[in-house]
Amino acid sequence: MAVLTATGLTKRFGGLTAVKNVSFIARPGEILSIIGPNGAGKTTVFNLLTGFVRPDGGSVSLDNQDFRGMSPESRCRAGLARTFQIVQPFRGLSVLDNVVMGAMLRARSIEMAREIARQVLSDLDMSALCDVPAGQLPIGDRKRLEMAKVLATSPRALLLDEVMGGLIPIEVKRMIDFIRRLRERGIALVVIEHHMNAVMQLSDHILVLQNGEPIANGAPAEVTRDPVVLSAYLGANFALSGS
Amino acid sequence: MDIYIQLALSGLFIGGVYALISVGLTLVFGVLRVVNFAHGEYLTIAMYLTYFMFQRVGIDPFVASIAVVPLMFVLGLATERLLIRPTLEAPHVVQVFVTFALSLFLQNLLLALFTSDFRSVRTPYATAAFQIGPLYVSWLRAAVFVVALAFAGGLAAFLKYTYMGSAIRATAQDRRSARLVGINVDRVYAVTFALGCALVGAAGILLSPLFSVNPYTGADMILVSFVIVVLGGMGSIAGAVTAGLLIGVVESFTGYLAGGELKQLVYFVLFMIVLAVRPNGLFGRKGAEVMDVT
Amino acid sequence: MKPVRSPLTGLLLPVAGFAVLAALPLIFSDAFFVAAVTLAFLGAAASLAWNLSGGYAGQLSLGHAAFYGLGAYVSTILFLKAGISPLIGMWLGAIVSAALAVFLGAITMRLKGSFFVMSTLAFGAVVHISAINLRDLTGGPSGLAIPLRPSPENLIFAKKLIYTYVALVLVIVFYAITRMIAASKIGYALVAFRENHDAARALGIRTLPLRIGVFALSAGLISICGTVHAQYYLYVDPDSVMGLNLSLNFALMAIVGGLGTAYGPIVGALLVSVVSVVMQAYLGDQISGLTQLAYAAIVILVLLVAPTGLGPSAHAFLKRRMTWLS
Repeated sequence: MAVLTATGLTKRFGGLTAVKNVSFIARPGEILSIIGPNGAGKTTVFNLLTGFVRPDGGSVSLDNQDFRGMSPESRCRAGLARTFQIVQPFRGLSVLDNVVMGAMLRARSIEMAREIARQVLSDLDMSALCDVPAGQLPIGDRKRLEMAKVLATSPRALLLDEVMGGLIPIEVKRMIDFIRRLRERGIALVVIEHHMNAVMQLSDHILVLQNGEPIANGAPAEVTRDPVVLSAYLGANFALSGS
Repeated sequence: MDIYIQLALSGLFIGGVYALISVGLTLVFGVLRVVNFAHGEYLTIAMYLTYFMFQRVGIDPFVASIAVVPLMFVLGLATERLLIRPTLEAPHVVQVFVTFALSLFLQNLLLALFTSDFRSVRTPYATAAFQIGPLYVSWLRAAVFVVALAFAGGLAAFLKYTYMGSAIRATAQDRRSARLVGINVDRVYAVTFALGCALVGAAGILLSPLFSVNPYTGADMILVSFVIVVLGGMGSIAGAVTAGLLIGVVESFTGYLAGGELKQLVYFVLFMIVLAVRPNGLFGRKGAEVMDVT
Repeated sequence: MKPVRSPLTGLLLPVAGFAVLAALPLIFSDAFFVAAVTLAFLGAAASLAWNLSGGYAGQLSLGHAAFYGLGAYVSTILFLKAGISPLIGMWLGAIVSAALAVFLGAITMRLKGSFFVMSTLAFGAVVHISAINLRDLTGGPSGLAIPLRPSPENLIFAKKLIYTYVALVLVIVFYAITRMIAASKIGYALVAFRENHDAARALGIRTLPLRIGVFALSAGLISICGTVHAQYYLYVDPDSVMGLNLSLNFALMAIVGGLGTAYGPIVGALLVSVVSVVMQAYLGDQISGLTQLAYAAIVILVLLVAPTGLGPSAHAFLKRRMTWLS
């Protein structure tokens, strides 16, 4: 089982420091949530972890494998997968073929990949959508497809970027259940989520970012009591949605 | 030594026209993110228009520009409306091949109308020249150079000082934000594309007294223009002007040193080297041209 | 992309289609018709080769005529100067083309969209101009003539009909190669890249070596078509085997028929040749340019109305009608 470690991640875009000295450990079977206001650098952290953006400082490793200089492809092969906040389906292809693209990584043939893909789609209650072109899916199904694609790569650590954005309450509930099941499978999960209710239900740890800097890190109960966090981010909103 | 100065000068003169051709192409790419592979055919059309106005009506090419440039602008508006706008959101392959097919269409239309005969505008002043020290300077070529740069300068001023110019620059930066601040992006696209056609039309007029025209003239010229636009950084007008002048001089020297046939070879090889080493151009900023790959 | 599971569409339909194609020149044995069919087959084979890289990986090369021309020149030069059979020469041409494609791919495969297109245009121009200028080797602009010495070993036949079937064999083989690649992990990875580069990377799909490899395969296969072209015309010159219009045609046939499908280039090549035969029959050669003019107009219409190509669009249309009826 894999441990994802980030140490001192820093990224500057021109004069702006988007991410500053972010460190955390995500352990198997645990859910780490990264929260913070818009523009806090959450998605940039994911881009740094997966290699889509090169850091100005810091390092990422999965178990004891240092990811320095590795491409996103190689990191995915090593077991670190991600979803995109703005979902990235292969629009022209069917839902099944979309998931096959992910399943190819661990399958020797397309037939095997197709079997894996069907299994993943069935886990997500999407079997009925197999032949639908991905471009025609409504947003909720697109979010699930985004999830199905990356799960098909059999990740050991998984980064979920706002997979509940745009979902209706019943879909949110199903997604929460599903993420819990992933945790039971022993996947190390890092979650970016604006949906505070979901965050409080799911998280084992919470990392709070503000202007790219970590301002708190701990168990949900601790973080929500932290006065810095309360004033910076949660404030009244949390009082409303958490009750 | 004198011969080299003479070569540099004649290269610079023709480079001015190259610059004008390329400015239109780079402007359209910068704003619409479309490479107009039919750009050369608009050059050919303008040259034919100028030729017929000269031959049938007896209007001097420099005067004809008053009519030809607006005509090319209108032609550009029509093209944008019919072919470019419907394909802006289409897959990349459609965008590329719509303009390629248009190029094929216009070439063969001109071929059917005017045959492949070369036609030339013979002005009485074509051979007039003046002398500065040891250099002979053609009045015509000098005038063409000056007018070409004046057009490019006019474009720069238009982009800088008018509302539409600012709207065009804003759209080039970020089309979504431009829409958000109330810019009519569709109109910007139409005007930009038409401007591109008008500018290459102006270049066609200026080339008319220097080169004869047949349906393939533009297609031959346009490859140079790609070289220039990429060299200058796609979307950069100052880059296109600089690179245009540079390529003019390079061509002039290689033509003299290596012979006319090889000069094209030299700049295509140069082009591929630039694409391989510095695809954002010599002067451009990094942007749309490369992706990360493994 | 979807696997063709039913034996009807998967195997029977192509076999029936190829049988019809094979019967065509026997039913209409007129020399003009046979020539048109031969050229359509040769075009289809070349377009199939182009489509491997251009259609599946979305690498829109407009320099493929360079590889086609290399195939024609390498086999012809070896045949004329060293007496080497074109049957061997065509493989050597294919190797030269593939090697050059690897080199070109290594420097251009990281370029996006239009930049890749322009780089291949420049490459095509460089090879074309070189062929014109290397007079000792290529005969310059006037080209090389191959003496008519019919024998299978020389790949020269007195009966033109044989070329028709040589070209058809190429079509069938290239079609089979396309089907095999499309159904493999390689084909899927290429399509993933074409559809969404970042999404492909996020799923651990490494495409660069695959894209370069398929580009080389595509170049090698199209080069073989070039050799057959040379043996058919018994003549090679830079403009007719390396011109930009040739590259454009390989691409347009695939686009008109159905980009990134195995049958698309064949459908496209047949349609294009039907159009040109009809145009020539009605308009003759009185006014040059009219055939090409009509062709360009059709291409523009197809791009605007059925941007996925006529094959897939017709298929989608039929499917809608079927679901309507049922």
